[in-house]
Amino acid sequence: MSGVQSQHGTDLAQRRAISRLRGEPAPSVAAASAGHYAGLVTRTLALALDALIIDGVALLVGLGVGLGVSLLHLPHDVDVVIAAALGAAYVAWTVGYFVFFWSSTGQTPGNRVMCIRVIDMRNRGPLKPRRALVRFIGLILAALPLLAGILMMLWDDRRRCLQDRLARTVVFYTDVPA
Amino acid sequence: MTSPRSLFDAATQLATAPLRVAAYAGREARDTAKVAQEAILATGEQAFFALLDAVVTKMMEDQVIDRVLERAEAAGVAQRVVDRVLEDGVIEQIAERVLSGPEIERIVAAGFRSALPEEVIEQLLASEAVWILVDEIARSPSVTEAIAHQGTGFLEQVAGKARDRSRRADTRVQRLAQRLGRHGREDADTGRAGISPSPQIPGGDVR
Repeated sequence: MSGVQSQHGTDLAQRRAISRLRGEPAPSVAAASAGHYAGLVTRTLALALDALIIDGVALLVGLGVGLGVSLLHLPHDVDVVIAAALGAAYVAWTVGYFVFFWSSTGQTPGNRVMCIRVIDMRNRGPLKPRRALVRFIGLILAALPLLAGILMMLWDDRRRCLQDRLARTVVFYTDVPA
Repeated sequence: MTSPRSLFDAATQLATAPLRVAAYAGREARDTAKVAQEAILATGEQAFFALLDAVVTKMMEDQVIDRVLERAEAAGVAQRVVDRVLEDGVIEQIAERVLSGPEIERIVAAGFRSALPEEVIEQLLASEAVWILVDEIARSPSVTEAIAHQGTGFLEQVAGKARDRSRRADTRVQRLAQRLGRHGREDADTGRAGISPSPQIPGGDVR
C-alpha cells in the first residue's frame, strides 16, 4: 500500500472512531475523504478558468496572426497552411499548458485560484512530464463518453476521475490539512 | 369792576417777584459755571495731550525706548519673564482655555464660511509644485504597493468566496450522487429478492 493510501486509511479509521464515540452514524468512505480530495464542482471551476486562459491567449494570438495575414493578401493555399499551423499550435499550447503546470508545481493557474493541487500518489509530489501527458490524454478520454469518466469521481473514495486512475494521481485541497 | 380773585393773583405775583428773579439769576450762574468747567477740562486735556505728544516725540528723538529695551535685554528681563510665564503654566492654561472654549470653533466655522477655503484650493490647484508632489506620492513604492495590495485583496476575496461555495457544492453533489447510487443498489437488491432464484431446501444445499 502506498503512503497516501495508508494515510487515507488511518484518517478514515480515526473519523469512524470519533463518530462512534459521539454516537453519530459512521461516515462512508467517500464522505470521510471528502474533506481532503477536491470535488467535482471545484475541479470543474478550475478547469473552466484554465480554459478561459488558454482560449483567451489563443484568441489574441489568432487575431494578431489573422490581421497580419489579411494585410499580406496571401494565396488561398498559404492561408490553409497557416490555419493548419495555428490549429497545431493551439493543440500544442493546450497540451503544453497542462503538462507544464502539472509537472512543475502541480497547480495550473485555475487550480491555484481554487486552491487545489494534482499530485502523484506514489511520491506525493508533482507529476513527471510523461505522466502529466498521460493524465491529459485521460482527461480527453474521460470527457468523450458524455463525461462519464469525470463523473465517476462521485462514487470514488478518493474522488478520482478516469485521468487520475490512468496517471495514478489525486487532487487535493491545498488549504485543508490532510 | 375788579374781582377779588384777580386782586389776589396780582398780589401773589407781586409778592413772589423777588423769588423768581433770584431763581433766574441762579440758573444763569449755574450754566455759566458749567460752561467754564467744560472749557477748563478741554483746555487741560489739550494741554495734557500736547505734553504727552511732546514727551513721546522727545523719547523717540532721543531713542529712549531703544535704550530701555537694550537695558532690559542686558539685564535678562525678557528671559526671566518668559521663564516665569512657562514655570507658572500660563501657556498651558491659555492653550487649554482656547482649545476648550468655543472661540476656536467659531473662528474655524467663520473661516469655512468665508471664501478663503475656495481661494486656497484654487491657488493649490493652480500651483505646479502641488502636482509634482502628487505625482511623486503616487509613484512612491508604498502607495503603489498599497494600491496593488488592495486590488489583489479584492480578487483574493472573490476567489475565497468562490472556493467556499464550490466546496459546499462539492459535498452536496457527492452526497446526492451517493444517495442516487444507494437507491439504485436497493432497487436492484429488491428486484433480486422478489425473483428468489434459488429456493432453499432445509437440511441440504441444492448446489
